[in-house]
Amino acid sequence: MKEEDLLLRKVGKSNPFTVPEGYFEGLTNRVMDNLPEKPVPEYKVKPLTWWDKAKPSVYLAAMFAGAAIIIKVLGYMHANNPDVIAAEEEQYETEMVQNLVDAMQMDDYSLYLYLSDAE
Amino acid sequence: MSARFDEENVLRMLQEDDAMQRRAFGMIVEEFGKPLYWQIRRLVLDHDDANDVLQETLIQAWNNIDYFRGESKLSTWLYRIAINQSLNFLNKQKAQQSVSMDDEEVSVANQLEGDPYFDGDKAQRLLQQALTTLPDKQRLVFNLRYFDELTYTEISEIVGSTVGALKADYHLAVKKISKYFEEAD
Repeated sequence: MKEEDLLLRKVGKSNPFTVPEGYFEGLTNRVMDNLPEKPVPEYKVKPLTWWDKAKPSVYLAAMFAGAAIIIKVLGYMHANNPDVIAAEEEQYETEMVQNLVDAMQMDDYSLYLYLSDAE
Repeated sequence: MSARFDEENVLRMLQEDDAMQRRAFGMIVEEFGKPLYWQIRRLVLDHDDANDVLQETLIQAWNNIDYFRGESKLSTWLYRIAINQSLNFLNKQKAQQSVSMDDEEVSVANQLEGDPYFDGDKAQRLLQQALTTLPDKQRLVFNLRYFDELTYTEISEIVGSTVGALKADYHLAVKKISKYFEEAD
């Protein structure tokens, strides 16, 4: 860069700033003497109360109770579901008819005639 | 970096107990104290101010040494702290003095004239005056490139800008300084 060359010619790169004699020789010692102590975190020990001791057992019992309630509710909901009831009833009816047919020892054709007459 | 300074070993020492950490930090100050000082001095100009800012920089580095994870070089991390401290100092100084840009140049000229720790000639004094007319970031980029001869990649790691933006900053800084010299002649 032309301007940079001009600057180099006029000013150069020498350092015009100076320091008091011995400044750098004593720098490290001065800095280390003024370095603060690292703060140590204070851990306060709290005395245990009866609640602190009972807490784990109470939480565990509450967890099992909650799980039991959820299972019960889900089971109740499943049992009272109309679709579930209808499906169970249909299955029961099918089983009952099958048992009756087996007991009467009817063949299919006779059963068909019987059911047609019943309608 | 001097041959005796082993960054890997120092980082290992920093993971040890308090006494070892202190020893490691002492080695860091020994290695980087001087270059950090010059970074700061070129921005704040006055020796006493530079000394104060350097102390603050090193104390901040010490207080946060546990959070240094080695993701960047130690020097990069330290330079970043030094630059932030320097820029904060300059902002506070400007706020306290409430001087105009023209007054600031005159103030710098007078300051350097009477400064026992400024050994520069007229051209070097003029350069420092010209630098005070630049935005802080441009001035910083100029110092890192012109005086410290860092690559743009190295400057980018310290300052955080892209290489392209830094090249533009440097180019603009040089142009403004040249114009300042022309107008002063």
